[in-house]
Amino acid sequence: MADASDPPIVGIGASAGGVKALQGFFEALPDRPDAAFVVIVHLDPEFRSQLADILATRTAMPVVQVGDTATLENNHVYVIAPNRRLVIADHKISAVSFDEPRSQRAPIDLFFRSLAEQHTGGFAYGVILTGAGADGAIGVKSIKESGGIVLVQDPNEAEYPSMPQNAIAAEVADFVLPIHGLAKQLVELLHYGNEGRSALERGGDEEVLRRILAHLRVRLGHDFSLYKRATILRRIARRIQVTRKDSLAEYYAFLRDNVEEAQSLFTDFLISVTTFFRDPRAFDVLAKEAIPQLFNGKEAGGNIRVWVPGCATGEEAYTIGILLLEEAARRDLRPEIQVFGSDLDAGALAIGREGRFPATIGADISEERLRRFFQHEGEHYRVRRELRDIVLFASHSLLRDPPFSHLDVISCRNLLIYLDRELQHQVCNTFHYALNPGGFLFLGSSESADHPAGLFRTIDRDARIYRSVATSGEKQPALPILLGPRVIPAGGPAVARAPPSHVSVGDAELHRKMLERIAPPSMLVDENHGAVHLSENAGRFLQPSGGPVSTEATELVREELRFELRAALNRAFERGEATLSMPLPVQFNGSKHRVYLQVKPVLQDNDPTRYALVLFIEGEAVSQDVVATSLDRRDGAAGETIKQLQEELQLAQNRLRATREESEAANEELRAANEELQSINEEYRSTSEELETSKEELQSINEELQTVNNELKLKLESVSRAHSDLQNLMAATDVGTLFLDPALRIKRFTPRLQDLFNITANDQGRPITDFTHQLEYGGLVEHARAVLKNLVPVEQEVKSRAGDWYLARIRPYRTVEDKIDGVVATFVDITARRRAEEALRESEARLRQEMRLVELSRSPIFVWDFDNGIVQWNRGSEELYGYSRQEVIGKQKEALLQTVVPGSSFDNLRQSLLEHGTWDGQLLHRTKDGRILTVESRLELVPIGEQRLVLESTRDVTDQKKWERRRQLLVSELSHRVSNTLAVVQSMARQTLRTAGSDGEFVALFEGRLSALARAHNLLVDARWEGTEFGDLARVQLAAYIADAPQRLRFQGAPVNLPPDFATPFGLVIHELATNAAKYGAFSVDTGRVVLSWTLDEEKGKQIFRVTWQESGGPPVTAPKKRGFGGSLIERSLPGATVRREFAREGVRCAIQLELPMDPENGQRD
Amino acid sequence: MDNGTEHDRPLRGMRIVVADDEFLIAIMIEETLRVAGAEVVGADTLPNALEVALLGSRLN
Repeated sequence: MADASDPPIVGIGASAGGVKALQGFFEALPDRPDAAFVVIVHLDPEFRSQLADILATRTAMPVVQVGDTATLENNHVYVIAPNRRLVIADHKISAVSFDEPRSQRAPIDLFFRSLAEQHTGGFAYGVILTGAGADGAIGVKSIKESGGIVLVQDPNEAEYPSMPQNAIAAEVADFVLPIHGLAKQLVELLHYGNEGRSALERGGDEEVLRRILAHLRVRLGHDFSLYKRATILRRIARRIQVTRKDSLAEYYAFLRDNVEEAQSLFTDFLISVTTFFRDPRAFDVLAKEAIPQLFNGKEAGGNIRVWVPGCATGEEAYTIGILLLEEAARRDLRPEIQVFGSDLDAGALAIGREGRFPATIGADISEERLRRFFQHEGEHYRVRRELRDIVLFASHSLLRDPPFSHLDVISCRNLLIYLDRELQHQVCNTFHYALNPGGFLFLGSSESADHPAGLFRTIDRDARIYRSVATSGEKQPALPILLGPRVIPAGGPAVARAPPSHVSVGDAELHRKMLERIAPPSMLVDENHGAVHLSENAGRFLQPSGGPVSTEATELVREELRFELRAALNRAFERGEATLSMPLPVQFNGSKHRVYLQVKPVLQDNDPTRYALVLFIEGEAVSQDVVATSLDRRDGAAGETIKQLQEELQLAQNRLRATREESEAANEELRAANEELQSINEEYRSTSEELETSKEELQSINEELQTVNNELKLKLESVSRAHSDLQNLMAATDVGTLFLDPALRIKRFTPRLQDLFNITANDQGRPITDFTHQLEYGGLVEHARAVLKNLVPVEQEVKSRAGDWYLARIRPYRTVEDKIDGVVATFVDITARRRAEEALRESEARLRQEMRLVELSRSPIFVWDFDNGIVQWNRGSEELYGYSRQEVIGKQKEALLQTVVPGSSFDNLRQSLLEHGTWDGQLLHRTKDGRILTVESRLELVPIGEQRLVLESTRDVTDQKKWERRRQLLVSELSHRVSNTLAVVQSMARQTLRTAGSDGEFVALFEGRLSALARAHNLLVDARWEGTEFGDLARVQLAAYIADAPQRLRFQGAPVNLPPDFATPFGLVIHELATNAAKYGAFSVDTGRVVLSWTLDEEKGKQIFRVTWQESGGPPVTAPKKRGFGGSLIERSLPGATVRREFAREGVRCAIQLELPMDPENGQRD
Repeated sequence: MDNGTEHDRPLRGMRIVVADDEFLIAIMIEETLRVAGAEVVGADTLPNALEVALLGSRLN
């Protein structure tokens, strides 16, 4: 429960149109309004709400969506989360799941009820803003009942006025204002509420309070002095806050000056919350324990009477009515059921009588009961006739008016709690009096009927169901003393008083005495006209006749009354009619009084004895003149006169009888007429209801018509747009379209058609057969007729005289009702398509040829899928790699050919291909027989559809590479040898120069040596530098010396192949030997001879080459004094050789020995 | 040539084996080395050159 230290809580309910209203509301509030705000809206349970974010932009207060539980803080805004309802407990707000199906959820009502339960101290505010439906209408009543204040948005301003209207209809709205007015009003209320209520709670002025209640009693006739003080103060405090007064005295002054405020305060006093099946468990017990007993022993004609005092808007009365009707249905019994609902509040009673409640009652009533006892009317439920007929509403004060009686059930829930204890006891006495013995009393959860003791026994304490205890025979039931005006106790309300002294007297006895004292004297007479019982004061009208004592009534009463009494008794017993006599003059103590005799037949249940009650009603005294006249007549008339009078009387009685009979007949007629009028009235009512229904139906039809009208309007707009679209389409389309009716008359055509047909806009309606066209299409009309007949579309490609092509398509024209109403012919220019097709065909043919060429090509070309295997493999590929087409299709190219990318990787190649689309370079591919080929490949990535194909053409460059390497080797060798030779020449030139005596000698020596070198080279070149035969080498070098005398030189030796490395130095050595011989030796004279001999011997696995130069016949030889360059050449130029020169007198001898590399050809030649 | 300065005979005191299968090239190198002050030992084959380098002179 909340206490005064907690901040006031403002619950705001809104629905459709609520976001805008809430934005406006929070914008109009100050930054710190000193309250906690809880916003409840109807959110879609499936979607996330942005409401908190939206509101956060309109207020400085923190705005949070309550997803679980949050502590309520001042100047904070809490927003409901989707698919959750909010409840308040212990000053915390919690989001909980709904118990109801989605269609019956009323989160605003549920929260307001929770708020009201927690804030009974009056610091709750309910605000209803725009919204459809009636959610909140019940909740605001709870808030107001708890002392809170209800503010409602002006329906005229609300975007959806239904929720505000329903809240207003609940008659609890304190303020109905536009949004900004509501915000301003709320701020003021919060200010006054925090101060005014506190002031009142600190202690009210008792005298002023008493005056307020007295004012109310005098003004409206209702006394609330015995209501509970706390309730009275809370309700007055609420009015003080609403009227913005600062004190009780100020409010009292306001109350006196404003007539309407008394009614407002009175209405506030009467506020009570009632809902259907409030406290369901208690009603369950009532339905099981009490209701069935009411039907026990009841027959179809029996009746069940129930009273619901303080019924407010009737929910409780209807609830009990529902339980009774359900029980009756279960028993298949229809006793006469009557539920009386009473209250002081005429407005509430009017709502109850109307029987129309917000649709949110669905939260309290089961779906089955809703279906059976209510009919849905938009945002409301209306009580069905069956239930409505058994509930009667009456304006009645429980405390002031006599109670209803002979009741089976009294349901008075949550009313006694507002009364002080003494008043509660008196009300319990009233209930006991009103209930039949054994009748049930149904109270609220905080009430009891334990006092006064002995009146009720408890049936179910939790449900607060009691049963009336029958009083003993000597203590007859008596009406409690509740009637008549009450006196306000001087001490103000709720001041305890001593119980009245007569409370101990038997109520029945008291009642009887009171009746005896107040009622007319009477006499009970049996059907034999015997007096059975007399009232205490009946003696005045008795005057027994002389003679034997008789108890016959007609003998006991005064003589003036006997004649009338006899006739009346006869009528009572014979006809069962009650009669009231004409005034009869009776002499009492010297004066005559008019006396009326009233005789009523007395019928008692289960008692065959018949009685009649005779009442002596004494009227006014008869004047003396009348008496004198009467006496004179009596004195002057004789028995004749009396007789005459009696005859006249008899005649009068006859006439009276006749008149009575006529009257009865007239009464019968009137009764019949009345019944007829009732019948007519019923018919009128029925007709009225029918008219009401018709009116509603007409309204419904009107709404439907408006809806249809709107739909038609929309359709018309749509048709208009479609027509406009069609016109634009016709104008914009490049397709010639012709609409023909069933007779092939022109209905409509597009402008493009005029290129083909010689028609104009004025030709509409004329047969198409009247017109020529540019198409070579003689069957147009026949095809159109065939389509009309067979409903099968016709298509044909036709050529125009200009050489263009058209696709002529003729289809049936179907209306939206699927009726054939002609044909539609379209002529689509397909010239470009035809040309494209022809080009395509040619292209395809060329492609096929090229594909064939590729397939047959000796150049390796293949196609592989970038993401899969090989898809194409031509003949050249088969020949190069050795794989057949069947062997490679579908296999990964890089795996099959074991592709190696020199200096890179195949993945890099793929990446490059992706980036650049092409790749050129050398690859290593392995053939089927295992050879590694070097190929120059060109790859091109071609996307075709969803495939990425790689076209790869390769060229085998393996041999080319090999020859390239050889060429490089030769060039290197040549370079080496040239360099070497040049170095040799350079050295040779230098040494020759160093040793030559003159330039001429140098030239001769150098040219000779250079020529020897050249000759050796020539031989080597002739032998492809693979070596030279020694004999050939010697002959070439020595040819110049023996040209004229070949006999001077003799060669001896088998052919020996010299390696290139030895050929050149041997050439030089032979040249030097010959030069020396020509200069100093054998060749210097004609007689000289030279023998050049050589052998090749194999010794110890080595080939030893021995050469001997032997001169003879020349001049005597002398050894040179020093070794010159020539000598050095001879001795050292042969690497690894042993050279011995001997300068014998008869001639020079030079022996050379060296090891030659093993040569298989040496030794095989002679 | 013996009269040259240290600067003119940078290889003085050094003993260098020259091995080249081409005699004419070898003697040109030897001559150049001698001009630079080196003592040159000729070798016409690789085995001879190794022998001179290891033993100081050729085996006879």
